[in-house]
Amino acid sequence: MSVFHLKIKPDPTAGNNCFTVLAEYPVEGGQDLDQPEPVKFVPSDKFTMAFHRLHSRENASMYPRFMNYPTHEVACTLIGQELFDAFFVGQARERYEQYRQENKPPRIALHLPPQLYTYPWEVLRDKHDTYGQFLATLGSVIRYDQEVGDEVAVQALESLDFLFLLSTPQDQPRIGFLEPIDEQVMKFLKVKPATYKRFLEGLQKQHQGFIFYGHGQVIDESGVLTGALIFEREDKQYASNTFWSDPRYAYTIGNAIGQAVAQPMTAFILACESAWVDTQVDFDMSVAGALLKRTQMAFIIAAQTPIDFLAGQEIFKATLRALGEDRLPLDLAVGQARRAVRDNLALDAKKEVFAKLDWWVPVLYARAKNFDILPRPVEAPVHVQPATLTKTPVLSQDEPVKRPVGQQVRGVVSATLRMFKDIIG
Amino acid sequence: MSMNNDLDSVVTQFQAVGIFDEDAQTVESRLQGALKDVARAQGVSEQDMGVKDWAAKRLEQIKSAVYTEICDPAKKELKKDYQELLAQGLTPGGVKAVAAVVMQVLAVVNPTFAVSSVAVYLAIFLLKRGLNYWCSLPRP
Repeated sequence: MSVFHLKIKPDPTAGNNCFTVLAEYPVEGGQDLDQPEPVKFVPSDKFTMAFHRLHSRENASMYPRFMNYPTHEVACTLIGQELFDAFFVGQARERYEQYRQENKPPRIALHLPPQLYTYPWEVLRDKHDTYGQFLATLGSVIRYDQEVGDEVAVQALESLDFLFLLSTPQDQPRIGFLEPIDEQVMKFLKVKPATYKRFLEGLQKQHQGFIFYGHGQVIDESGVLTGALIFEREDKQYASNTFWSDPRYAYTIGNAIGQAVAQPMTAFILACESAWVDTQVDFDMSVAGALLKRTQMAFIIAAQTPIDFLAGQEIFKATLRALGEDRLPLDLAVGQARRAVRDNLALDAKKEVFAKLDWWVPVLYARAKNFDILPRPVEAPVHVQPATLTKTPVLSQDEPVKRPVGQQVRGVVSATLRMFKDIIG
Repeated sequence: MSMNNDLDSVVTQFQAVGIFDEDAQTVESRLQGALKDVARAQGVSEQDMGVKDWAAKRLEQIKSAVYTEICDPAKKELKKDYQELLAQGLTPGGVKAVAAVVMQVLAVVNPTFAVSSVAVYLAIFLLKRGLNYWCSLPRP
């Protein structure tokens, strides 16, 4: 079950908005090395309108937010197809079509230059797929930052230990309570309270990942827009401890992780705008960008816009469920979580309609090419489960995944795996 | 958030993105959202807003003020001076005309909300409900 890599590079010699694209997928009878295809991408007016509305969280602006899924889907379709038609061209398109014939589900890796980060690649769509399907929900869309250093090697581990922070300062809007429960293949060290000091202490121990669930923001630091995560700051003046906001800049967090003795492999940042980038914000100044640049982390999952907390919760739970129960590779686990947000949150229109619209917001940045972070069961085909029992077909791989030599396989995860207890505030 | 106080451009933009075609309930939801957005932009935090139906209460107050201005409760229809608002219906011109009246009311009642998007949403809502019909109802 391979990944299709598309490398997009700017071509300033050809003019503004010009790029070259090169696909990495061997085609039988094809040349070993393709020539890069020239591309010029100037978004249409409709694209620009849809793009601004997709990012809008307000009604009082000139780009009123979407209020329901069907109109939101129209905009995603327009954007996704325009991006696809612009960049999947020539030989790259031929290789992509060959890849689609031979691989299910589709796993699309985009090696992007910084000037294209702002686009919502997670709504990328092949118009030959049925309406309502996007590549990130059929399978996965993965981003690679072209300016980051060398590839990181990843090996599946028998179990994963995560540092878990739930940061809910009282001067921030309330979010739902979420606490993961340790299971056979995943254990969570809860950092309580979620102060920056305790976070640093937690980094001193070996963890495969850290999870931050709370608020993020973009701060104007003397004219430079910088991403930040809001930790808790303990106030001991009162009889009952109270916690206020303690924002920490992205580069501070990145440096702290970068100098840790054992750097975590994965970061799961469920905080608004943790991967935000626009014409004013340098990607390196976002939380995701800083972690990529300043650490050796292999995977970072973050939010490219503000994200509804119900959506964030569902993404979080569904991703870990897909990893632990279905033993999916990380990118497909995120894809399954997107479907869960899109398809499962349909009960209470008032609370959940906006959550459903945020299926595209999480972004997976990678600097490794192996997404199997937990070993798959022996001889078990990979099933990509639909989020609900719908008519969506179950996609399966023809060949079983081969285990690395010498790796032991643990017992099957309990069928009654219960990952979390939720107490919605 | 960038708030554009030019009624013309807001009306044009809202027509372009399809707000005119949305149902009255959706437009009213947008209006409540816009009130919250405006309050936030003025520095009022969500925690200051108290109960979650704050926006609904503000909206009722605004509707009540607009009703007092344009409706004749005895005749249960638009006041004579405002009958011309009916002329253009749910068109850009008609929306702009009603929005202009709403803006005048907001400027007196609560200048914080005298923002074009708020006025335009309310104008679209009222035109969808029907101005004379709305005036025939009890004052909000």
